Amino acid sequence: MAIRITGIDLAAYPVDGGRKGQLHQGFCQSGPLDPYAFTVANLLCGQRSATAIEFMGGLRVEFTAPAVVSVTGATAEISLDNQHQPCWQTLHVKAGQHLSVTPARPGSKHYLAIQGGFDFPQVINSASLVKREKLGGLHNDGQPLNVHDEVQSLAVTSRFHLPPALPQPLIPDYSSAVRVGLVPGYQHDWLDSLQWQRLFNSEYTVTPQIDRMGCRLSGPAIELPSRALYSEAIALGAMQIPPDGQPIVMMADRQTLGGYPKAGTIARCDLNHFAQGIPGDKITFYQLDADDARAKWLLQLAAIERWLSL
Amino acid sequence: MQPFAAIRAIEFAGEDGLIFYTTGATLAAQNQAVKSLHHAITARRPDWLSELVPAYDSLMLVFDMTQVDYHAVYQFVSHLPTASGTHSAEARLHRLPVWYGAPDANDLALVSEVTGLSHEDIISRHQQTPYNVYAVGFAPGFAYLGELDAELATPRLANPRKAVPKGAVAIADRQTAVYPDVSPGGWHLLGLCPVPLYQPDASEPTLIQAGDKVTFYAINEDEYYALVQQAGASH
Repeated sequence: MAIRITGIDLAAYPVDGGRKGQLHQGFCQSGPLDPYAFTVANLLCGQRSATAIEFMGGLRVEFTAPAVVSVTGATAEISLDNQHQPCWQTLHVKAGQHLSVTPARPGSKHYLAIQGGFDFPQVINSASLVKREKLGGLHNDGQPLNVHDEVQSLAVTSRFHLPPALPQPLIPDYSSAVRVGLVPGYQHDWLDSLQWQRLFNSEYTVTPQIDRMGCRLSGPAIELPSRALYSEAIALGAMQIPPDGQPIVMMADRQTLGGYPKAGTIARCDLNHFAQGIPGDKITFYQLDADDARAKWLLQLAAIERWLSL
Repeated sequence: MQPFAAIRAIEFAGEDGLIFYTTGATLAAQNQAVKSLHHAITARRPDWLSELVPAYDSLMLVFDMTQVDYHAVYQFVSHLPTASGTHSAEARLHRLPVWYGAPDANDLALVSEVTGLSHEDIISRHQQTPYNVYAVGFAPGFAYLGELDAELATPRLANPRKAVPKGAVAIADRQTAVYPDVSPGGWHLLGLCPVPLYQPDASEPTLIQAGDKVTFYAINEDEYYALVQQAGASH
């Protein structure tokens, strides 16, 4: 079973759960930018955390064999041989059919999952592609997919059970005005009350300086005292405040260590909304303490488990 | 969260992470406390432990928040037997050969200008101290070694290089390092090391771990190429 890539507008590359337990060796975490959409894409194919294709901009593929697939992510037009198909649902595809995905907004993130998972080389226990580290991809050199590439899927075993249709409330509303929870941490006490007010009461704009490593925002500058700081581990979603006061949120492919002060981290329950931001989008932040952030995350997981047990 | 023992502060690193900052009279002492804590946690390796990332004066712990919350993690860490100074296993020592002044990685003239030291003096001072591996990061297998002889301290290059060669031995401030692979970089280069520090296909992809020790010794051009060939053949 395989797909042949017939069109890539911006970028497409393999992602899975990421490199786990390797940060201390300098390997970045990698994995999906929108972990929620990635997870649901796999669940719709009857599996957890198999290798999927993350893509930005349009993607067109031809199937060389029948397959069970799903497409998730921000709003997009999906068609199979020009027949309209729903996003965030299981799709049954016949050999020779052409799938086309056209995102409503260029730069949003989307996932194509296939039953069995796509077959990409594994390196350090993961198929996730990291360009900077020259890891992953069809030739395991960190190069993303190209038109004409063929990607195989792994064998489907009998333990795959397809879930019922995904209930509407489990489909995220990726509207362009995004409110994102921030869990104060790290050097949070370097911000005085005025700076915290500024951070929580201002609108920040996603700049074009955005990639899989991080997302630079622009808005009212956060002023911090100038103090020495040894490089330290950077958590997923950490908000760095460089000397110009414009926050940078660190994403899946972030470097493992860094020496900029950090105000805190984006709450996991809102990380997918933040990751779907494209240049020009407006973001506001609200304070969330660690217990509440964990509770909100566990509620999201519970909602998914309820769907699977329907 | 109340600090304890050799920990001066504990902060959140996400709702699924804590970062522990250590105390000590010197950076070496602070880093020793990081090592002790790291070792004490690794010895128990609880199921919920996802990541443990040591650095100069801090240790980040990431946990599986479906299994525990940070209160439980705090309780676990605060009850560990981490009497300061009782640091566990002997540190591993790596002796790394360096072809100082290799044409592809030679900023000796620049370093000489900044420090006022002769090329010979720079090279001999760089080899004098056994270095602590304070952290591994920035790129796979990139080890931050310290502390460099204070006389050798140099600021970063005004214009960072787009491509530092693989194996380049570099210095910046009171740190030194070997670039495991071609990468951008702003440190001053002293020479080339033929020992591979990063082999993605190997069972142990990175040679140096935080907590190890490193010494450097000088080799000449012929010895460098012989060692490069040897490394290529064994891989």
